[in-house]
Amino acid sequence: MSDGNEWSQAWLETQRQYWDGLFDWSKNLYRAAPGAGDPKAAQNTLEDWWKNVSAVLPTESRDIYKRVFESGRSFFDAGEMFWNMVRDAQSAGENWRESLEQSLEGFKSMLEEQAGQATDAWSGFAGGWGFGGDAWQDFTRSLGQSPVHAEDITGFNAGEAWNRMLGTPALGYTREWQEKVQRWVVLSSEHAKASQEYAALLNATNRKAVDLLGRRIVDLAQKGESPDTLRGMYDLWVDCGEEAYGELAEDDDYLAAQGGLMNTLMRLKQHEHDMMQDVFAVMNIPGRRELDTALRRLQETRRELRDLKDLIEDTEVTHLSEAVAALRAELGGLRNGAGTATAAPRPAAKRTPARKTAAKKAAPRKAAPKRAAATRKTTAKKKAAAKKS
Amino acid sequence: MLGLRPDEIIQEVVGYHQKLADGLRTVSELGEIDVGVTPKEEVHREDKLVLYRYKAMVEKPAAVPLLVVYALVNRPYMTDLQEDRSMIKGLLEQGIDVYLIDWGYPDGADRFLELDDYVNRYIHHCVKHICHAHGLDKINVLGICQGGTMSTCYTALHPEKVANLVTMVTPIDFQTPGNLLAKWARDLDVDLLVDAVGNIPGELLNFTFLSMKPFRLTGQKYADVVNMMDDARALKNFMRMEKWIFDSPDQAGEMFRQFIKWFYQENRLVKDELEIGGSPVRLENITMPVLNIYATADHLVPPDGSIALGQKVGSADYTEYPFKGGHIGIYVSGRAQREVPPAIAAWLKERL
Repeated sequence: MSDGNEWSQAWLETQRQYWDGLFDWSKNLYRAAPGAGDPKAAQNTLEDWWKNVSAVLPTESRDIYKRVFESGRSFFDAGEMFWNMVRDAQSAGENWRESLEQSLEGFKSMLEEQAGQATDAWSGFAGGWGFGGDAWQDFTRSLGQSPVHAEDITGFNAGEAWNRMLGTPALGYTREWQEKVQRWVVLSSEHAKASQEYAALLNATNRKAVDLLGRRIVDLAQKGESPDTLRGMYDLWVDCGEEAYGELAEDDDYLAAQGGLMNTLMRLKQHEHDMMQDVFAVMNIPGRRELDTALRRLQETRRELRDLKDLIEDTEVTHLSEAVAALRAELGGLRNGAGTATAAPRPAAKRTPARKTAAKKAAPRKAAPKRAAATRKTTAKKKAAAKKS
Repeated sequence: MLGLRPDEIIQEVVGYHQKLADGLRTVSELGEIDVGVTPKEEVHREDKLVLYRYKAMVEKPAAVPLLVVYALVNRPYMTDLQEDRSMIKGLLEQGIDVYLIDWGYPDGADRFLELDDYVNRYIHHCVKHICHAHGLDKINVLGICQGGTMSTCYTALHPEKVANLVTMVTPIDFQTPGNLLAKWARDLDVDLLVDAVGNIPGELLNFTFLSMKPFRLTGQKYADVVNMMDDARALKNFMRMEKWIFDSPDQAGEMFRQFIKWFYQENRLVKDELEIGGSPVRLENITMPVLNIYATADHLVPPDGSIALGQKVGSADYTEYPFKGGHIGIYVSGRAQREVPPAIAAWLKERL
């Protein structure tokens, strides 16, 4: 059997070989004239490397390293974009501003193209910047399986989706089912429209962010300043994105669009639950509706039971029990003091903690407020009960 | 003119990825990401709630213990993230006897838990348990974020059980101008949301929080990580934070419905219109000493939303403590470790 450490070394060496591809690419760029080198080749090297690496990373580290890797990809994309921008601007000499504007227009087109190819509005927005745009997908996935996923709905094609649903075997009364399918199509369409409206606002923000970046670069240049590292440029880019998005995030149209996105998705989801419920009913299987009823009743019963227990604990019943325990203890003490061999009554002997409590409560400083508090609570509870009834 | 040179850009990209590759060994050797480090024991359990008592670090801790009530969103181990970033440890070192509520992870069976259950049942039972264990009528309560809002409601409903109230980054007025979450909740049909999905998936909360600053939180933050790839300790600290950020329990459906509707959408607490379990919640009932700690750069709970407490409580002994930092930094930053627990302890000791 091989030594684990040896294997680890061999594995790391394999990863280094992948990196040679990236370094070769960079060497070519150094040597060649502007425009040489294939960034896609380097990107593919990164992807291959990640595929190998992700399979063997410890589970706890994998997700986080994936995010770090994705940020590396984003940094790579930023590098490529700014590399082109800087190269063109330097070639343009005194006309560097025009060149910059052209580069930024190209960047806007690229972002729009990427957004158009995305499976949902959010990943089209954040993903276009090379950032992790999977948070929305994580959420929609957490809602469980649907006949059609929310991400499919964004690129909704009525004909295909309609045909897909018509292919579903009819159950129960066909007519009613068909009506539900039609309703589903309407709700899907509404969600698709809401997604498009939401995406349109996000895409407009992308354009705004790029304009802002251009203005910032020019403003800095007028002051004789400029980011002198890629990281500095990347940070400026992030600042512009946050600023543009920050304005959008508080805008009334955005609030309405965001609400619309979520509300249409939930209407669709709820309708899907109803459809599934019908299927379950035909098979005599209890569904979400029955489960909710049972859980609600159970919760109400537990609440009533707990309230009753609290009432008993907090009211005179407890004080009476404690008083009886104290009297028993006192009686036992008197009997013992009188020289009788009679043991303390059994129940009292078992209630040692209660006796301790009783002894503590016998101190007038603490006992008085406790009773007063209990009385207030009882009154409040009674009022609450009267209100409920 | 741009100060960048194309060859420098290439060099930086390559250097970045080289660090990423070199850091792989560090990542693969990190091992388990441990959190919640200070010794504690379970002293009470109800449904999924567990009440912990932390092991004292001084010979004679303060006679009146402190119950820490954390938010339902994310996990309470943020208060005890690691050895040198632990508010809990800081409090213990200051001689405070600390209890903490761990709400657990609600599942489908908890779908119908309401605000009433959390405040009048869960928190109340924990307070009663501690009172009974210590032979006291009342204890100190420290509520954090949403846990602070619930603690404030609890204190207003049961003032006889709370000796001193401490709130940390706690929203009271939910509709101050800088409250982005309240704006986002404005057009949300929360009834429809809860009716459709039941419990609210933690992933929705993750998405919401990340989309408040998407470029910083999903991109730039990770770009910073490559610079700590050769430092196992720094990387592990980062991983702990990440673990916490994405460790988002689902939210009990009814509780979420009530919290969003009553607090974010209708702002009932600060308007004296809130009722829990049929009883009115009136902040003027809070007459005991109050310490209100807020973060000056809090993007989740804007400072003015926390400070609103001062104008509403009936207490003549109300203190504000502004912490220079953000919503997360107040638990884990180096300055927070040095400043916050001693400030809480000193304030409590003055009021024994």
